[in-house]
Amino acid sequence: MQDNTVKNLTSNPLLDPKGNDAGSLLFVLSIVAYLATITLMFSLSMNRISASWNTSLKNTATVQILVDNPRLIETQVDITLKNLKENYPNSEVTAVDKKKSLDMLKPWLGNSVLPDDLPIPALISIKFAKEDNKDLAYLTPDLKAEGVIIEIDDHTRWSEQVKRSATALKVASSALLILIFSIAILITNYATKSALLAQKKIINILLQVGAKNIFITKLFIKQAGVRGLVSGFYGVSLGCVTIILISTDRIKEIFIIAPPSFHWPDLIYLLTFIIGFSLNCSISAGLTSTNILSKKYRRK
Amino acid sequence: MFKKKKPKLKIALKNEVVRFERLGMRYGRGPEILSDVDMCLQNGSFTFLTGPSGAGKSTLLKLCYLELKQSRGLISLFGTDISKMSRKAKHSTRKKIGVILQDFRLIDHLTIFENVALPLRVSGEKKSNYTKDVSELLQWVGLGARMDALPKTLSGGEKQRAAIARAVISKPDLIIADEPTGNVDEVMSKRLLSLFTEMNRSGTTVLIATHNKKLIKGVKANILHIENGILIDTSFEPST
Ligand SMILES: Nc1ncnc2c1ncn2[C@@H]1O[C@H](COP(=O)(O)OP(=O)(O)O)[C@@H](O)[C@H]1O
Ligand SMILES: [Mg+2]
Repeated sequence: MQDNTVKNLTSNPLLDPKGNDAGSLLFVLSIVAYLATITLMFSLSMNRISASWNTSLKNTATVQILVDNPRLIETQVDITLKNLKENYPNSEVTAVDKKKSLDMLKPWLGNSVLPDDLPIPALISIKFAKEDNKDLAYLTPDLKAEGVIIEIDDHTRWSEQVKRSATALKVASSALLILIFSIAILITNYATKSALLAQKKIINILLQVGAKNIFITKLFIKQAGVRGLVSGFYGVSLGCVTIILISTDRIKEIFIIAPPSFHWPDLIYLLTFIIGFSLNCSISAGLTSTNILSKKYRRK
Repeated sequence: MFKKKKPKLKIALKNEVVRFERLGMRYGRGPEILSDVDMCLQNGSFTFLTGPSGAGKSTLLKLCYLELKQSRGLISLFGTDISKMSRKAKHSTRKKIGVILQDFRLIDHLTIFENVALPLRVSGEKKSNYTKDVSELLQWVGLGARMDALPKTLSGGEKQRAAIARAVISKPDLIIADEPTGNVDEVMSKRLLSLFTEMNRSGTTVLIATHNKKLIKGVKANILHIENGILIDTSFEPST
């Protein structure tokens, strides 16, 4: 015979802790929390990436020299370089060499062998120093006077686009988070409903020995809150592991854009998320329990 | 808020724990199981409710402990008409009644100690405050050694005693028991019954439904008999 006695040091929870498929419920809630974590981290990373792209785009510009006669390239590049270096003494002004220019064209032209005499536009890149004025508006008429026709790309178009995409991503991930939270609410509602049914015997006993509805509701609130905390913790931990794994250099290469990465300050968001997730579960369990107890269990 | 009370009626009902008047009860659209029942339990009385199986004993008890609502007629508990009770009042009335049912209604994952302490725990008492009382009571019903056991490891008689202990732990004014000796042998029946008489001696009103005629013999108690929906008061003429 096995000793079936239970230590009487602490009180057992009144609701059956093993009842109502507690394990699979925890699993499902953890998955939900995991998806939420990935979405949250993705959104946070997007914010960071768009911010860093924007600053780097703002601090650089490219001047393209439009040449009709390839033999004049060298001189025209020199004229432009000289002008720029005079006006932006602290900034980094460099002519992009032919090979690099070709590399930059690759995405558009593909890997096909290009004819040697293909007119490659001469490019000059500028990395503005903080002290220098970034206005390039003077440059076009200035150089035109010297016979050099240029086109300036100060990336404003890009930066607008990056900003717009980042906003779109932010909206999308917020919507996704709301959806995920709604799913958690639905799951908890369903779990509470089925627990109220499955543990009907226990609830009837509790009512019989004088428990008020609010007492029973509190049991469900507590249970759901703990489940929210535990599954939130599992989901977030697994989410962080995933993020750290995909941000290793090996895996990074697979992604077209930089994958989400983990930064320590994100922990604040993640902890807030776990607490919010737990509250979300508690509140929905509380509402469901109150609702059902006042309807179905109301003594006629 | 300051409605004038009727003091005369209050005094008249003061000594009555349960009163049924012209009570009728049916389940849904079924036949009337109880018709025109008039009965009254005095404070501190000990009453057996007898009758063949299916006569409506359990139904009558359920009406007493507010599990069911009557189809017609009046029920008043502790001097108050239950149809005029607020939800809060019904709740506090329920707390004055200790109920022992045939199926024991023990919670499977809680120890016997925890099951017995349940009424105190749900009314918010601290464990340290009731540990001694619960242990003493369990000792008294002969379950001192089984306190930490789970219900599934107990025999029928032990479960029954645990259910009784739970019903009396909060010192109710009225104890209602439905066939409390249904699952135990004669010796145990007598022992359980002595628990009830003991409680009754300390002032608790007791109402026990049973179809076991042997049990009633030798106990000084009122007897109410139900048959064919009619309740007969035989308390003045003990059956032979
Ligand atoms: N929930 C119910 N719904 C319908 N009929 C019921 C219900 N409970 C009991 N009855 C019927 O009411 C009658 C009295 O039952 P019950 O009060 O349990 O009798 P007793 O306890 O005296 O054996 C029986 O005919 C039974 O079938
Ligand atoms: Mg019965």
